[in-house]
Amino acid sequence: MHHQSHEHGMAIPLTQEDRARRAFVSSLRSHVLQQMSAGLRQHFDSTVAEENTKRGKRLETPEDIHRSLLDAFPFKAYSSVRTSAQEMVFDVVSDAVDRNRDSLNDRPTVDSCSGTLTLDPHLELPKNVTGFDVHLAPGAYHAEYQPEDLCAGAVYDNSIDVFAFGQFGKELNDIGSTLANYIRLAYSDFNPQQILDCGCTVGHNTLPWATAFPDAEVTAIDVAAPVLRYGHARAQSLGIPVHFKQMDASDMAFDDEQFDVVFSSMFLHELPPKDLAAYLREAYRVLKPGGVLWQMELPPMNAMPVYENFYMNWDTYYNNEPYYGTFRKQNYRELLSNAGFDEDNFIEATLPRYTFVGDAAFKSALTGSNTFDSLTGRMDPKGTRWYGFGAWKE
Amino acid sequence: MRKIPRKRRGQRHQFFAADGVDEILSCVLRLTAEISAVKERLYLAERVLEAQGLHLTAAIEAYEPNEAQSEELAAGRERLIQTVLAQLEGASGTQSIANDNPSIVDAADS
Ligand SMILES: C[S@@+](CC[C@H](N)C(=O)[O-])C[C@H]1O[C@@H](n2cnc3c(N)ncnc32)[C@H](O)[C@@H]1O
Repeated sequence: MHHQSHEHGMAIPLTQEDRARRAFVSSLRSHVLQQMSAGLRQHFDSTVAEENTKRGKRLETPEDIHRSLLDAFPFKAYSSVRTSAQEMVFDVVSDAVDRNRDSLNDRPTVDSCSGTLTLDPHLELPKNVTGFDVHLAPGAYHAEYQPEDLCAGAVYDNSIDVFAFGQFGKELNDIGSTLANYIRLAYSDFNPQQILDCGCTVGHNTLPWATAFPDAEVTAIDVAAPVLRYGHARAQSLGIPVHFKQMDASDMAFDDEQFDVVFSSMFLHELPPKDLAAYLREAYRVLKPGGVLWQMELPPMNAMPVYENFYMNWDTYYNNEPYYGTFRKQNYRELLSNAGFDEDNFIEATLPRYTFVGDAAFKSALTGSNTFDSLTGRMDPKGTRWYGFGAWKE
Repeated sequence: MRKIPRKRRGQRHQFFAADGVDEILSCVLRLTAEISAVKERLYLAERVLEAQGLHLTAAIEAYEPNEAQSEELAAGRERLIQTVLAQLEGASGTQSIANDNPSIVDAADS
């Protein structure tokens, strides 16, 4: 029987029907995010923007654009279909995970690899994880359906496979590959020994750090036990050693100055502002002098065209991402200087996808300047650019 | 055994003014997914049989399902109905997106 698109020891067998439903939802998402979103943009440019100009109304903020579109049919259709597609992402993977629940939980973890798993059953889970079903995922990251369950990890892994319609790379690790290889190639004298990934979920974007820096020790933390159990088993099966630990990133148990790299991806925008500030101070504390904080995130509002800001913030209005818009409004350089980093040591980059373009093209793109447009931070087969920002610690 | 929940917590947003339009759109999309899966399966079945020298179309027209097979088909229809009606059955209602709705502002701001 066929498995998920990416083979590893935790992949589950899929029936032809599973595969057909998943393929449909991927196609639907791709259609919504490209064709329907282009239709919406065209409607905005040709009708809404013009009408507002005629009436002397300027649409200066993403909220202005949002309000101007609330009654527009293309906006309603786009939003309604996108919501359904998001719900279906989880729906079409749950049957197969339920069917394989026992076999998944009973699968022996490969022990020929030196990665570890350390859980903390006393850790108090933060409200941003337990309080609501983030991006409409039933059960989010932490739900356990039986003792020591790892199925939430399987749901996440499988749902990302459907959700990404290929845009996260064949092994769902393009973001980590892109950001790790950026550090490797842009700072070739830097030789990190200790690397930390915060909010790692199942480690999709943790593993490429171990591949890009084979001499380094890689640690990954998350608050949710099921995704860590699954991530550990998956990494062991792939022979990539990572130390997965259950820990709150805004209150880490690590010593001061322990890591050369503190990395995260798609993490900061899921934190309440207070936890975000605490996390960044913790990141500064656990970094060695000469180490770097480096994170993949949504591009900041102040760098993006106003329509793109409206378009991106759809998620905060309608996709259960309550902190996302507030996060993007901030000045990222200031966020980091408030956490202790020197303003002059701020770094940021918009990067082509490493596993798509290959090492040579990626390297030559590093000399270019940053581009903030409709391909930045979006999932687009035409050539997504990931946005990274961070700072060196003196 | 507890199953993975198929419904998330919280209410769906209502984008279309008339009640039920968003839900019906969701039904239609789910239905389309099912049709797509069936079409693909039939397509594959035809190709597999063709490769073995069998001509499926004529054989299907002539075939009478027995009792057990009929029950199997009925169970499949029930599953299909549950899938298609997922938003109508046990739904918690909708949340309006009228102009003055606070959801237009980030939850974290308020
Ligand atoms: C969108 S996911 C991150 C995806 C992952 N970094 C990747 O690239 O595949 C957000 C993750 O952050 C975790 N999380 C949320 N708050 C946290 C906290 N305070 N400390 C550690 N992890 C947290 C969640 O459990 C979830 O797994």
